[in-house]
Amino acid sequence: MNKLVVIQEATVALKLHPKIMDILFYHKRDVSSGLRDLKGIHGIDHVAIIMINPELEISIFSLFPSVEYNLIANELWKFDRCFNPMTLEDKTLNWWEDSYHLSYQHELRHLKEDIHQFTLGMNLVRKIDGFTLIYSFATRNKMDDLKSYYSNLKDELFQMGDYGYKLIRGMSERYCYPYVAPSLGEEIRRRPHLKLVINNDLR
Amino acid sequence: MDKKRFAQMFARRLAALMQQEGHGVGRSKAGVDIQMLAKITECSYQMARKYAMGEVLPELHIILKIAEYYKASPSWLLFGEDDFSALRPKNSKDLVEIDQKLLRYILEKCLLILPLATSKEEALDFIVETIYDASHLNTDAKTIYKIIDMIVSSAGLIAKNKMDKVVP
Repeated sequence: MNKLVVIQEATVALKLHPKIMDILFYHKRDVSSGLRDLKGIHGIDHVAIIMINPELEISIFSLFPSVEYNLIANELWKFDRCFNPMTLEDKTLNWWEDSYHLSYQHELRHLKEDIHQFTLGMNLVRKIDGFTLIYSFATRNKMDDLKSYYSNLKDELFQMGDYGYKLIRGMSERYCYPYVAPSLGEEIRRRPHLKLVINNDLR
Repeated sequence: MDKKRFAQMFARRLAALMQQEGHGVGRSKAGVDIQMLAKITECSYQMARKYAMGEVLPELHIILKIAEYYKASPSWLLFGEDDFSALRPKNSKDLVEIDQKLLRYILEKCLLILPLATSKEEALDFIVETIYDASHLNTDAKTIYKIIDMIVSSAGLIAKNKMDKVVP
């Protein structure tokens, strides 16, 4: 099977978590109070952590959920490879602008970057035993050669993402069933299915 | 004014300017992103830190670089008083435009949960971020109001649950 077919099939299989609105907005206070710590470091203005479980279900925990909501409400997320684990390699840094499908690049750029006045957006990818964690950052920094600046900070951005993930991991747990949200460095575990057996015939 | 005081006043204005431009770092002692300042001024991290901490007043060509980068007045950076109105209010990336009715609705809702906030700072951050999100949602008004209800009521509910757990 060639790579293109695999990618197309993966896009079809990808789905938003049924409670994506709750994940984005119901927990906004707790998510923001955690991710807010990262705002301002290295000129970062926006942070979101995208978690894709082994069944390709997408959950998003965002400092400013309007950024991701606008893509969801307009069905544009499907044309943004930032949400597609099949096209993202582990431990890589990817620019938002390179991830847009050519047919929708202007709409995506407008909704995701222009209206928020972001000058650059980037994703860092961490794959852990079937889960894909995508650390999404954006800046309004105006200095020259931003890509080079952030490329040099790749390791630190990963550390920032890991820190953010640890803060929201507890919340993400409730949206992972039947999986357990991965601990960084640990193997993914399935929740044990315990069965309560009552023997009424005991004499 | 002595030289030390002069450097400290410069650092205050520099911090205000950098924070307005999103280059503030709350946890840093200087309150600003030192690495960014080093990049802008093309000097070492240690020297940028001294500028930001008000320990050293930068040379004029360094002040010009900062002013040019942030499109601020170099004379204000150097001699300005505590009047921060010289900061650019127009075309600022932090400027949020919002419908007055919607703003009132958000503030009314937030007032109800203010007593549940853990700190004034946290409450203000929450309100400002909610206003930002509401003003940037690309959807119809009915959905925006629904989302605000969800954000604010859940914040209140979660805070109340936490308080109930603490208070026996």
